[in-house]
Amino acid sequence: MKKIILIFCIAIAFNSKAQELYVFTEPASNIPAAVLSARLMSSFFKEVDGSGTNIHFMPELRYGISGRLMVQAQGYISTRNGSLYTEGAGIYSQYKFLSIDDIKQHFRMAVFGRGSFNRADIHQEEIEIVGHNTGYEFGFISTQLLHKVAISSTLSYERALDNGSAYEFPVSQSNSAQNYTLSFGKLILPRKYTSYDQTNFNIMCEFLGQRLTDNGRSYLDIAPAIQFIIKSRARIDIGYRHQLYSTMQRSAPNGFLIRYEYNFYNVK
Amino acid sequence: MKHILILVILVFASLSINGQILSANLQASGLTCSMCSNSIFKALKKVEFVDAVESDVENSTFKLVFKKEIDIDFDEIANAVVGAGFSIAKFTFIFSATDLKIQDKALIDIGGKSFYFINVKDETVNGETELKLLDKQFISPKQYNKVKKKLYSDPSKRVFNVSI
Repeated sequence: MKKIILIFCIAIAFNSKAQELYVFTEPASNIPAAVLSARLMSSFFKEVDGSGTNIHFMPELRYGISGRLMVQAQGYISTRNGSLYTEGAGIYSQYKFLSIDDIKQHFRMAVFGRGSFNRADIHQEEIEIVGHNTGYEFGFISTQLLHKVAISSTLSYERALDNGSAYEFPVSQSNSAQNYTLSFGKLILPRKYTSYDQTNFNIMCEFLGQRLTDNGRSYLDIAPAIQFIIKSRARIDIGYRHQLYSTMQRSAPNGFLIRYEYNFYNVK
Repeated sequence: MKHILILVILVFASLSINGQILSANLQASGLTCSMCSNSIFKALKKVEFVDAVESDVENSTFKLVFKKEIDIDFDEIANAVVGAGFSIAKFTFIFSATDLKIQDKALIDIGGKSFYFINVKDETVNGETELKLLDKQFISPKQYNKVKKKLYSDPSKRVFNVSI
């Protein structure tokens, strides 16, 4: 598997155009104003204790309030305890404060914040407020698009709180972390655009890392992904996340993600 | 004396015959995928005085055909693109000219709008004529840095800087 990931990521260094619609992170470019985006994401991560697969469903709505500001709401549903269980929900907002645009080249920076509620049990040291912990996160995103590759980096602070009154955050664990990501994206097809009806094929390679504040434990994952854009309206993402190393306890670090997105334009 | 001369030129220039603005071509920047292009396409189609939009996805260019006998507001087009989260790298428009005298560094009225000409030869134009807008929101940052010292602005009215 590691060899396949390596070959995949090297392939990104070749071929023609850049693409920044990352699967595991957000680029600093917001969704366009007046675009309403509906998403359904499913993830299938293998439990390290051999208890099976941890499946999440995350329906999501995103909206571009202006060219600079976007908001998002997301629900967290999981099968971790057997049947489908709504564990919580979160809201996210991103503000693009810098945009230097040129033809096929741009640099953008954005700030973002996320707040999540989750009522599931706390079962790992890793802090993940998307689908696991109650908490908040805020940070910076920088995205640079050059002719051949789109490179994006995120730096954020994430803080976990108690998961409702039933599951207090364990005092023995670090309740805050710094996250850092580095993402690369390429457009593979079409080689030349002729209409909005062409299917686009993109590949991404992302690195996702976390460091716990209190004890310095950390992990680093690699996450290759493929993506199809259909009729310039819909998007299908298929990604795989693989732990490169970890010094913290994580319940299910390796697994797949599938996402479907459909965009509605001029929604005012 | 120099000021009087400029004044005379401006008065003569402003007496030129107006022309109908027919269409425009714009190149957008800051987009990476056909979904971005599609959102600009749909935003442009919503602009009231735009009759039709044709897009070239490969080059991020859009051809706008305007409705006839209606006021064309270039700023509204820029707002549609910038408002969606993108930028304009190049913007040209075509108007019908009738014996229109063009002079460098002159203010000229076309279709009820004021245009200030930069880097042009003195000439008389007839028929469909294409002009390029040079104001900040209509060109790339690199292009803007090259021309910004030559741009004309009048706080009391909207003046568009143009070249051929």
